Amino acid sequence: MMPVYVNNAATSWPKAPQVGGTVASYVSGVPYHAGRSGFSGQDIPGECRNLLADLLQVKDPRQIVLGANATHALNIALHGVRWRPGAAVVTTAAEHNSVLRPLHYLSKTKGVVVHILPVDKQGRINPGEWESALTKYRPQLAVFAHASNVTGAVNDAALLARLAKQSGASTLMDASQSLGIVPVLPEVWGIDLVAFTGHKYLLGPPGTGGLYVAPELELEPVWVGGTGVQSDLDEMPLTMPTRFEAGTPNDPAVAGLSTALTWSAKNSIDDCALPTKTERLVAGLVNVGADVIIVEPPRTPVVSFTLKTWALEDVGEVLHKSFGIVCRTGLHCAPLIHTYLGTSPTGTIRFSLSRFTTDKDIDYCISAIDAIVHATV
Amino acid sequence: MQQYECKKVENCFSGAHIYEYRLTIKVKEEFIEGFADSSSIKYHRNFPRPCFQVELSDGTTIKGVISDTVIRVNFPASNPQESKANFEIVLEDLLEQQQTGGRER
Repeated sequence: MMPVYVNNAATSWPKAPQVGGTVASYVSGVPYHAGRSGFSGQDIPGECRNLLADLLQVKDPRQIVLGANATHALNIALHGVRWRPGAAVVTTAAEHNSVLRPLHYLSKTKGVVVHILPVDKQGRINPGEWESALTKYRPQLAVFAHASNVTGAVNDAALLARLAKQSGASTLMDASQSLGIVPVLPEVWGIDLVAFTGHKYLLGPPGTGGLYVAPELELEPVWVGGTGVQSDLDEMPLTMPTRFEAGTPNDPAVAGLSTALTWSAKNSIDDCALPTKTERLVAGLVNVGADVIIVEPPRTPVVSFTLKTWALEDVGEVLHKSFGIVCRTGLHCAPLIHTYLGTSPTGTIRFSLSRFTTDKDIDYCISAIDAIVHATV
Repeated sequence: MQQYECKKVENCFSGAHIYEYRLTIKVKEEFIEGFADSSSIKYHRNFPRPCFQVELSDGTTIKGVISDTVIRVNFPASNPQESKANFEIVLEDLLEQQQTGGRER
C-alpha cells in the first residue's frame, strides 16, 4: 500500500525534485568551504543565502544566519537577546514548544517575565488584545507565530509587528509554518528576527533552517566556536553571518535546500491551488461528520479536527496502519492553543497538505474518515 | 526462545505507558480471540487492513492490525508495571498456543 502523506506541517514529502540527489552528491563529493581556510570553491551557504534573500526580499543576504532548523534559530534569537533586568516578553498561546520552552527556561534562569496571550477559536491572534498587552506590559520582545501549526490560521504579521514596534518592543516571528507558501517579508514589515525551517514548505532536507536578523538589532552569539575565519580572535567575529554560525556547516543539506529554493522559484505555487485543496478537504471532512476547526482565510493547508466517538490516538493509528495515511494526532507540540480551540487536553487529528497533494489523496483521506466515523464493530 | 521484543514508545503525554511488541508471528483472528474471556474487543474487519482493539479488565488496551507482527499496548497509569507483567504472562501463553496450533495445522 503506497502511503498517502498528509503530514507536511511536520515535514514535507515529497521534497522538491533533485533535492535528494543534490544532498547525496555533496556528501560524496570533495568538500570545499569557500571563505573558510582560504579555499576558492563553491560558496554553498552563500548561494543558499542569496536564494533565501530573494525569497524574503532581504537586501543583504548576510543578515540570514543558516542553522539546523527553526528551533535552533529561535534559540539563537531568544538566548541572544541582551535581556534587561525585569524584562518582559509578550507571546501567544498558539506558539510551538520551540518558543514556549526557551521562554520558560529564560523565565526560570533570567527572570524574564513571560505574558502569554489567548488566541481566538481559529488559533489567530486578536490584534486588539495584542496591542493592549503591548501597552500594558511594555515588553522588550514580542514573539508570535506567523501561522498556527495546529489550525493553519495566518496572522497579520505586518500589523502585529507594527504594533510591537510602536510599543518599543523588538519582534521575533516564527515562520516555520508559512515560509514557502505565504509571503514572509521581514524588512517590508519591519520585523527584527524571523526564524524559519528548510524542511517544511521550502521542500528542502531536514537539518536546514535559519534566522533573519535585522541589521540594527543587537544580538549576542549563543553558539561560539570555530568559524574558519578570523581564528586569531578570542571571541566570535563581529561580521555577519559568521558571528552566529560557529562550527562546520551542514553543506550537503544546505545545497539541497538551494536546489529546493531554485526549483520553487521556477515553479511558483498557483495561488488558488492550495486554498482550493484545503477547502475540498474541509468540506469533505465536515460532510462525513468530523468536528473540523473552521478557519477563515488567510490560512495554510493545515486542517485540524476531532471525531466524537473515537480517541485521537486510535484514529491516528488506524489511519496509519489500516488505511496507509500518514498524519499526526495529539498536541502538535503546541500545548497551550488547545484550551482556546476547545480541543484540550488531547488535541486534534491534523491533516496538512502540500503542493504535491492530489485531489485523489484528499478524497481518500475523507473516505477513510468516513469509514472510521461510521465503523461498526 | 524470546517470543517478542518489547520497546517503550512515546506520545504527546509524559505520563503515557505505551509499549510496542514485535512478535515472532503475524497476528490473526485467533490471537484476538485469545483475550475474549477477560476483555472487550473491537474488531474492524471492513477496513483495508482489518484492525482491532482489545481492552482488558485492568484498563490495558491492545491495538494492532491483522497480519502485522507489531501490537501496541497502552498500560493504565494506576499500576503500569504490574499490568505490563500480567499482560506479558498472558501474551506468552497466547503466543505459545498460536505457535503450537500453527505447527499442528
